[in-house]
Amino acid sequence: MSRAHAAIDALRAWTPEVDGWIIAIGALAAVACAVPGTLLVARRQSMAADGIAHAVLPGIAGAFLLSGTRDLAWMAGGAAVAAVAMSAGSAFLERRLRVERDAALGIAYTALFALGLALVVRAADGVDIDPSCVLFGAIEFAPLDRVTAGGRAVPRAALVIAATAGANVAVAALAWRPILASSFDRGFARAAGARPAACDAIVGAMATATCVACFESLGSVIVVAMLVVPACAARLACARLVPMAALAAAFGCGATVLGHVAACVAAPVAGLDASGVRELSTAGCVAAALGACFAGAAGARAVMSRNRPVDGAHAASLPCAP
Amino acid sequence: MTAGDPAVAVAIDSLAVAYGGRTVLRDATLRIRAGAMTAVVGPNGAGKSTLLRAVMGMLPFTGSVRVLGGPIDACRARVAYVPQRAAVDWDFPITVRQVAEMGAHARLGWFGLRLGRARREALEALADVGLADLAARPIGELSGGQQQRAFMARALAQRADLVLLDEPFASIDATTEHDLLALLSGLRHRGTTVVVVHHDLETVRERFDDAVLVRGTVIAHGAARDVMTAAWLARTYGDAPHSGKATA
Repeated sequence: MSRAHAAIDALRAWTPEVDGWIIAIGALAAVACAVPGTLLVARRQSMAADGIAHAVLPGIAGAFLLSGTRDLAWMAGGAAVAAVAMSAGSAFLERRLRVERDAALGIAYTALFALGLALVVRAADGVDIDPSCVLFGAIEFAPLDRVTAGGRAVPRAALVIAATAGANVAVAALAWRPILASSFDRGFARAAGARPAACDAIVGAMATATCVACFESLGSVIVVAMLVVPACAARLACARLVPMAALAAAFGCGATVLGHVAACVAAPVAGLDASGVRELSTAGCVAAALGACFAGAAGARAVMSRNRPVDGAHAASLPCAP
Repeated sequence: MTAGDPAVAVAIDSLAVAYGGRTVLRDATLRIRAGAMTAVVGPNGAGKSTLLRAVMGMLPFTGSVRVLGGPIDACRARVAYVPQRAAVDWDFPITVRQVAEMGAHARLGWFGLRLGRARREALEALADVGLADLAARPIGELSGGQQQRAFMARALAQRADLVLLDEPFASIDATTEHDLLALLSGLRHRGTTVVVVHHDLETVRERFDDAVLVRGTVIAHGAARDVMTAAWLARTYGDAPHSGKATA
């Protein structure tokens, strides 16, 4: 059998109950990540996304060790404590010891991530938690863990991530105006009573909740890609936040489909099927597809700006400027 | 003029501000006249921006600051503040109209539902400053002068009684500065109190009603023609290179 046939067979083996849900969960994660991801990228805080995604690990592992369950309330509580610890730690380094902002974040989150890994290895001696799943997620197995909702067995991850996506959109819509003002002109926002510190906390809380919700499916490392890369790609094409978030969600959904297809067909195409390696990691392939999306967006922007007439100050304008 | 006098827009008594152990302003006492255009003048590092930030309650201080007859927290919606250009993220994805709308939101409430009204008022304010055609453009694509006009529109949409601008003419050509000063004069004629941190001493003499000379404290304040004298400017700028400007 040719490799092409092997690839087609791999896709024919798709079932809505497994592969359909994997893509649905990834797409929901893309929507959930698009809101905080867009805000963090637009506010030049991409490093904070990296920090939060890594720093929640000791919170999640610690909560698991304490409670012995993967109950969402425990996980979210542990992650929130860890995220606050990271914010406080990096703020201390930045303000008291005059460490540069990104370096302070790097010190705080790598220390917490290392602690988290140690806790995960400790927890792995027990049951139900695997270090590689913690890092790269286990979206392939997410459809197997079902709960009943509306008389139908639905993957727990889909419900949790959908609720987080809905909460992110609702919170962002509610606090939209003060967040916009404090992101663009912090001095004005503070003077005009828009409370920029509270806006920072809201954006950080959205990012933390999203990392916790997506943690089991995408892992603590891959979720960073879903937060940052689609938003960066969308920024190349959009001059306003709402279209940017919508495009970021679309990029994330597209990358999920591409990534899962690639994960299913890459191994048979590469001739690895016979060796027992049926699939690559979907989360890893999704992250690679996100990289490809970014490269595509950057290429499209370069082509469009080359074909654009030079117009003084407007020469640098963005292709999708409204 | 007493602190509670309606003719006083800002009343500052014995103000002291310190950053990281260094005293930036001390024993500053000042009355800013309501409805006047006042320039805040002094060498770099004299505490001019700190004075404005203290008025806005944006940093801890000792002493007393009363704005429009009360504490700043009671009248934030009536005070428009334009920070220095460097304090703003010009690459942030936001349009000119959205910037102007911020002024309307500051007055109508950050969580209110009067979105249509905010948009209408923002567009009217942009038309007033000659930016109606650029309302949909990203703010980062505008020239420095146009960006300051957009901030002016934000202050107009806020319908503020007091406007504080921190070096609005930095990096702006003379023609645009002239136009912006005309806009500020227009605001003053509508009864708005305008306070500007400014470096060009000639313009202060010609275009401003009052001046405040600052160097670690308030050296002098009063009518511009009385304060912008060689003697006061020498006390403010000392023998520093800035003193060349004082005799310009």
